[in-house]
Amino acid sequence: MSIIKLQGIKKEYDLGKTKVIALKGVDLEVQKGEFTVVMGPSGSGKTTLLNIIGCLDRQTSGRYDLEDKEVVGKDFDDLAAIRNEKIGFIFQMFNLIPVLDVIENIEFPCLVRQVPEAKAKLRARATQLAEDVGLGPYLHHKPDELSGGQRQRVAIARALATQPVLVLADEPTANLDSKTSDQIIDLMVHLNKDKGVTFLFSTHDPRVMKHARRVVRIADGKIVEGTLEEHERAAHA
Amino acid sequence: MRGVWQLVRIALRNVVRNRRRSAITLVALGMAVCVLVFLRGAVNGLQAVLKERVIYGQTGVVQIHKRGFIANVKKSPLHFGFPAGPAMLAKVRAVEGVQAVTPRVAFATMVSVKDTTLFALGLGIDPVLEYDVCPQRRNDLSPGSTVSGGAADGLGVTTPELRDQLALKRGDELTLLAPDFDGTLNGGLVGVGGFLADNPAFSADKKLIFVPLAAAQALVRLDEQATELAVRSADPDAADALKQRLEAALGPGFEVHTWRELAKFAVDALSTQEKALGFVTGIFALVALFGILNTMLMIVLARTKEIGTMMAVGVRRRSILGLVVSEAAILGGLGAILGGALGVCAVLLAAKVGLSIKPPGATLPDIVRPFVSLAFVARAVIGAMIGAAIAAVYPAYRASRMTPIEALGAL
Repeated sequence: MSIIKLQGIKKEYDLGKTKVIALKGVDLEVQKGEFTVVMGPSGSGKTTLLNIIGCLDRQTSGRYDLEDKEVVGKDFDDLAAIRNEKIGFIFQMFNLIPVLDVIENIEFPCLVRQVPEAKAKLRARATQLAEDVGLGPYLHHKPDELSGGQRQRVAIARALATQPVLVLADEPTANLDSKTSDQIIDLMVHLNKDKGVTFLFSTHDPRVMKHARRVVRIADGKIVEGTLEEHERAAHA
Repeated sequence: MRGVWQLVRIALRNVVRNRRRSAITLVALGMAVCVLVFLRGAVNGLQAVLKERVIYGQTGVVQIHKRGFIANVKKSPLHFGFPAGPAMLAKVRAVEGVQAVTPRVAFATMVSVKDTTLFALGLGIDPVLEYDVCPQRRNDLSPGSTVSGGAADGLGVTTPELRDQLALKRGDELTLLAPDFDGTLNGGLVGVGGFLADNPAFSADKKLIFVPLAAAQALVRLDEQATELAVRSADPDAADALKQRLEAALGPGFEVHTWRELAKFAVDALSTQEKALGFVTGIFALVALFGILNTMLMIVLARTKEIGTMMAVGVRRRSILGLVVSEAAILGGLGAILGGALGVCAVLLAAKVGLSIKPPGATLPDIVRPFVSLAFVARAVIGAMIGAAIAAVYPAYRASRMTPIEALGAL
């Protein structure tokens, strides 16, 4: 089943006298349960692509279907609702709410819903998620009381709290040491394999790419499909 | 609802989180509210002194005159004498709210001593009843001075100005010459029973002499009559209602005027004080609100990424707006409560000690005891809270209009 389907997605940025074309007609499908990596050099358009998939930005033209429904002409609040219900985000800089503790950060996206679920049920699920990512003993720690790896674990748990159809991760290991990066990658691989969570990464980290079932290379605003070996050969050619 | 509470909880924690900035904002707002409450208290105290001086030292709460008196007071006041014997006084006393009433005769006179003569205003007052209506008059007399006696053996008091110009001393005998209602010039003798202390309530009438009512009635041939009745009631602020009751009781032949209508200079002074206080309040409010506006702009700038994160996980625009506004309202409310409490303490302390303030024209200071109503303090606190929230609308709007991409920088 196709979670996302992009057809001819173009994105132009109007910078006054000049126009920058970030995406030149991207076609991409991501199936449920995939562990996909988008790689590409700086300025290739991968961040723009993830922004559009994450409903944080809008394409200039082209069609974007999320769970077989076209994402078009939606206003800010409609897109906010889609982000809240369908997409989980893991940021490079963790992006936790500093005044909330671990369990509150995990619950936060669920609490801002128009119709929040029952408090006890949500707390139980958030606690389970915290335990799944190894943060059981740190439920009431604030983000500044946690290490970088622990913070990213909170971000992963938060991304999963709303039970999204897709988790977008922007360079999730870029600010972590190698040992912690391995732990975080293992955690996400485990979540993908055991719980069927669909991940879409933007990363340069070869350790992440090693686990990817599918690698999508983006160059000059266009998608180049292939295996990791093919992309690595292309990159070194 | 839980989402709203969650955002308010975040706003509360944000206030606690940035302790130094919150403390500076709280102190600034608190000081503004504290100063406003204290100023209000001081002006209240000052106005109370002024009103007391006017009402209990000069006019009474209301005055009764024969109809047409006020319009002709400078031309022919003595044409407006009316019977003011026990029956009339009893009739006035019977009106609801009247505590005391006293007859007076106002007249223009020449005051002679030895070979010096000056024009002055005279007021015949009842040596007993006058102090029931205007007890402050006793305080207005210099020590040992008295208005007493009758038509033949009356002792009067003069203002310091008249005393100085006529070189008067206690025990001197004054000759008063005054035309009566038909223009006949009459003469009479009054002893000098003392002098008035300097009194701002009489600053407009610097040459003034008080004589016993009987002496004034004999001088201007208004036996058993008065040109005005001064009335005291329990509540000077209800003077308008008393006026209506008295007019109804006395009929169309009389006119009743409240102290506000009689003492225009005092009302003008009160109004000027209110305007000045309003102006100062406005300046303080503006400065405080711009402070909040600046603080909230800084907060939004410092938390742009945090706001972006909230947007990314699905927080709606109005919730972002609500978050920033509620944080400002919490800051405003806390600052105002702190400032209000400090202001009330300052007012209570000043009331206990007493502020020595010299009103314009007075040679002696008044002891002003500030007071402030809890309703005013509550209004100040609520106003500061609402004002802070309003001041935060622009920063909040700016925050809410960002796109997630702008706020996050980039995914």
